[in-house]
Amino acid sequence: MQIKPHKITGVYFLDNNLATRGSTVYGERTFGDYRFWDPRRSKLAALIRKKGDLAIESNHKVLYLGAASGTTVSHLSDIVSLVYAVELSPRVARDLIRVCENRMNIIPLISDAYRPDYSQVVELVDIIYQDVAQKKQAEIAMKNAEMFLKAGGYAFIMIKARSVDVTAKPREVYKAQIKKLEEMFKIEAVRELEPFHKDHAAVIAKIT
Amino acid sequence: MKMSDRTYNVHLWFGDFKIENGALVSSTIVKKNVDSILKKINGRDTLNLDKNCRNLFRNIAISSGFVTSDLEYVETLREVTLELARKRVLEAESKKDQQIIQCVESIDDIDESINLLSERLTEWQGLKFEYLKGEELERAIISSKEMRCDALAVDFAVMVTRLRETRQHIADHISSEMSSFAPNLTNVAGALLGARLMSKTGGLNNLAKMPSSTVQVIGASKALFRHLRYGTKPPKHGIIYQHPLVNRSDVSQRGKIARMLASKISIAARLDNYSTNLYPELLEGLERKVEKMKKLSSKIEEENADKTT
Repeated sequence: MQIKPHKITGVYFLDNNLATRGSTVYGERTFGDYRFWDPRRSKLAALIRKKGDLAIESNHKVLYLGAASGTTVSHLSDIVSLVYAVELSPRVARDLIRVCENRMNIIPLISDAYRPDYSQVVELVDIIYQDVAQKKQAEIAMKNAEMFLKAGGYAFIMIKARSVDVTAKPREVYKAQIKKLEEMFKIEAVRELEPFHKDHAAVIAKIT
Repeated sequence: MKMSDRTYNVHLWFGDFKIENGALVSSTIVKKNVDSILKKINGRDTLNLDKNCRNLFRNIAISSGFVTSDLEYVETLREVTLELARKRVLEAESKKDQQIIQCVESIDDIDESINLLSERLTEWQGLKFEYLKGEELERAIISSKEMRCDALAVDFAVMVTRLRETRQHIADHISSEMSSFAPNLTNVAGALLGARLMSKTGGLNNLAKMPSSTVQVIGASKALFRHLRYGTKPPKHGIIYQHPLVNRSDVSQRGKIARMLASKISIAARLDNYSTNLYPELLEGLERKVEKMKKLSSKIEEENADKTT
């Protein structure tokens, strides 16, 4: 198998597959200590596939909104120095806790990102990564960026068209959400995540 | 980092601090054990903290003597938040499921009571208010004090009305709880039916583990066992009969629709039990399938009608 480092430090190409290095978490395929990172499972992996380069550095602190069972969080924790992982639903948070138990650089927070109650805990972060299944996705990103994102920091926002409005066309949902985000961010890129994720788009936004 | 010359009162998970001109002037630190820190965090000070202060958390922790290194800061925070997360999960899990079940069962109790009481009211006061029944009768009695209606009857009617209101509140509560607790089940089955299915099976987890053929006949156990024991016709549907797709369809099609609905309910319950996301395509798929089936069967009917004439 041919191993090549990706432009993002900590991410690798194994032949044509994305991978990070760390201990296995959710039964993903491994090769040595390389963990394959399936873009069909992880929107961040899909975004890296689509976009190529992202401003993620090994010394970064990340605020992760919508951590779910911690699949993507675990890969991100292989790459960056610290992840504040926010998840609202206690049921999936059970899996997230299991991931945290095996990793020293994830801070689990069972909270609603729309009503942040983690203000005493979360430091200034370099990146906000957001993948929430709630309606007010733009508002959540802005609220958290206002509180926690450093000047010049990036927000990677995965817009789930279906969560915002089931009936509207996904592209129109993206447009409307992006328009809201523009109040606070400079939108650097938008990528639809087809074919990996249906009706999802990733917005790369820099705080102004 | 350049801090402005302001005074900041900073409330953090490990203590309260005052910063003047970028220097720490006073501090109260929490005892460094999980319980004390948890108490401090649950105090939940919402603070409109200057963003730039957020860069100083570790510095403050070290210079106030709470921890000795960066590494220890993260270790301690991790230990505490992990414990807090475990607690929150435990709390929520042991409650939510059961709370919703209690609610939906109490609705059934209230319905029964309302029927009983409003029947009594009709018998008691029905002669004075001809043709009126149920809610209308209650309203008429309450608003007719000047007609010298029995004060006791008014009281009675007010109570039944209150009961109806309470029922509505509980139903609203179930709707909102269900859509966050089990969004897919709620989307496919509706909040009340979804909650009833959970109550019949003992919880979402149990419902998720059931085959959809069982889900189809939950609540029709009498008929099911009669079928199994005596070979009578199997039931077409249990409580999923309450779903409009079933009970608003032609009798000849209800069995098929109930089967489709049950399979989608099973999938929805499993999604909710093992993930958080909402998959609206589930309901859309079901509706499309039902529509297709209806068209097909009406076409067949037409053809048969053509043949016989």
